[in-house]
Amino acid sequence: MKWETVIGLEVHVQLLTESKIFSATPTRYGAPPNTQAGLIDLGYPGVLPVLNRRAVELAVRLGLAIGATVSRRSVFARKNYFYPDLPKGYQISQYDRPIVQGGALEIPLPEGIVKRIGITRAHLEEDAGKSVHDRFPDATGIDLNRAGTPLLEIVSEPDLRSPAEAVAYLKSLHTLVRYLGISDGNLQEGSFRCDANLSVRPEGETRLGTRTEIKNLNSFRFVEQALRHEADRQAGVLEAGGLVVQETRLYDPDRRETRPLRSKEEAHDYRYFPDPDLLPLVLEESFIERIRSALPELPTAKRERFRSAYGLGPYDAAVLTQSRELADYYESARQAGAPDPKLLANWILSEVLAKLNRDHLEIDAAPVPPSALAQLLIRIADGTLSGPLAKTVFEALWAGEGTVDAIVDARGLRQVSDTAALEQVIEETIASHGPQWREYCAGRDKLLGFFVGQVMQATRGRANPQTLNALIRKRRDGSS
Amino acid sequence: MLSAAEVKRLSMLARLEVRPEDGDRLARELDRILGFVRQLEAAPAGEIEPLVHPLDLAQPLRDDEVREQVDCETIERGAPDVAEGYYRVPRVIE
Repeated sequence: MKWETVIGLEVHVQLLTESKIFSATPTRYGAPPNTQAGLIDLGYPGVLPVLNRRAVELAVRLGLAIGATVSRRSVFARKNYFYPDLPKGYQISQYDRPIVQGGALEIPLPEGIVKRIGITRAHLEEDAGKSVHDRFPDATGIDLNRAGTPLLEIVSEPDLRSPAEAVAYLKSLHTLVRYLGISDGNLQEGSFRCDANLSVRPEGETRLGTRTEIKNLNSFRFVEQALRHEADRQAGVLEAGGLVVQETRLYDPDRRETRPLRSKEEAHDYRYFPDPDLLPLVLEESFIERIRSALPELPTAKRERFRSAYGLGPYDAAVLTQSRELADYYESARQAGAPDPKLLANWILSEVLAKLNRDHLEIDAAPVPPSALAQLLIRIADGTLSGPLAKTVFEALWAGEGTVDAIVDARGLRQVSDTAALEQVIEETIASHGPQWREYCAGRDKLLGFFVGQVMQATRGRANPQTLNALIRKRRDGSS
Repeated sequence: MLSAAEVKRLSMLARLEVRPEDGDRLARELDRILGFVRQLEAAPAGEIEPLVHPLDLAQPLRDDEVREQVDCETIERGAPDVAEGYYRVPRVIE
């Protein structure tokens, strides 16, 4: 039987604030354990949570960016459960009145197709602390630094139909939250965490199958692996005549399998109720409008503009607009006079990204600023440099050897396009390779490459390739 | 009346240990509480917006500033077992 996979995703995005969502302790990552957990985070008696305005603004920013309804009135609720890293015995979250409702995210699929994925809701909540199981041989260590860190949980509709679509959704959302500046999206540090709900059904069936929830999906690669395994597992269970059990499963990347996390007897019953310590969150129209007017250009719009304004293909436009910083780099180079938009895109996508990758650098820290790359491309356009010479100059730029023109002069890399000079070298080459020349003239066209190579070697790569090719052909046609 | 299984489930959710001989008495008492609260069901609340807070006020917001210094030493004194800055608890692994 052919099975269709149905996936909905819940993503926890850590919001970029200085202080916690309900207290004035810092959210900084990596501090010594428990040095950033204050009395409110620890749930001491008599303390009261006070909501962080910035966290609210960031949540609204996302809501506006996905075309959602931003609730003029939303409510905080207590989600009750016991766990050692949850000091109060409840998590402050939002339940039936979340701050963001509805909306959609457009995700790019292969062959230029764009699919709209519905967003059910996004709500504000506080993070729990961290349980550390490998620190002590017979005890669990609790670090409550993370307790109270603001999170926005973004819940999608079950609109995704394959693990690949799930990954495309996550990447689009990841790009969006960084564009909006609402999160650093750091996966390693847990700023962007994903749980998935997955079910399978026979193709053509419209009702949903029984779903499982898969946790611990902390990299895009794991997401795809884990969801593929879980879809296969469920299809296997159903094909063997069994039933899928609704449960939470944990992905184990080492064993590449999912396994049940909580037994049924412990099924959670969170007993949500409105938190009496917090009043309803009421948003004024002016507050929302101020945020709307400050929204940056969004990834989809930027991608489309890069295609239409610069004539770039869908792939180039998508990669260049993956982050605001990379897109800015491209546009700064254009403004600095880089003449050919496609050539500029090629240089960034191949040379610049490869070097950043090699040196583990972000685009902001690239040793070749956009203006220098523009200057390099100007020197290609005016014939000073050939493509291969330009790559040599680029290496030198990256190594900090100075400006483009200074490197060209210092290293004598100026392209030789001067016909007389090149003809001179060609004659010398023919003189020392007589037999090959006669073969070439007799019709072995392949030898053209040999002569181009010889002249390139003699000129240390500086010969203008087009001129050189033409001159060798002309010389052959003249001599035959 | 609440069943023994329901009482057991509630005690599990509340992390309260109930001695077997107390189960029946507890079920009766909980039943009385539920009956008392159930009177609310008779109230004609159909069109009324649910009240989430008795005060008709909106949540005040604070600026995003770090203002609280964490006094680790004092806080740690309230914990039964601390090592290397961590609170140590019986091993929990899911």
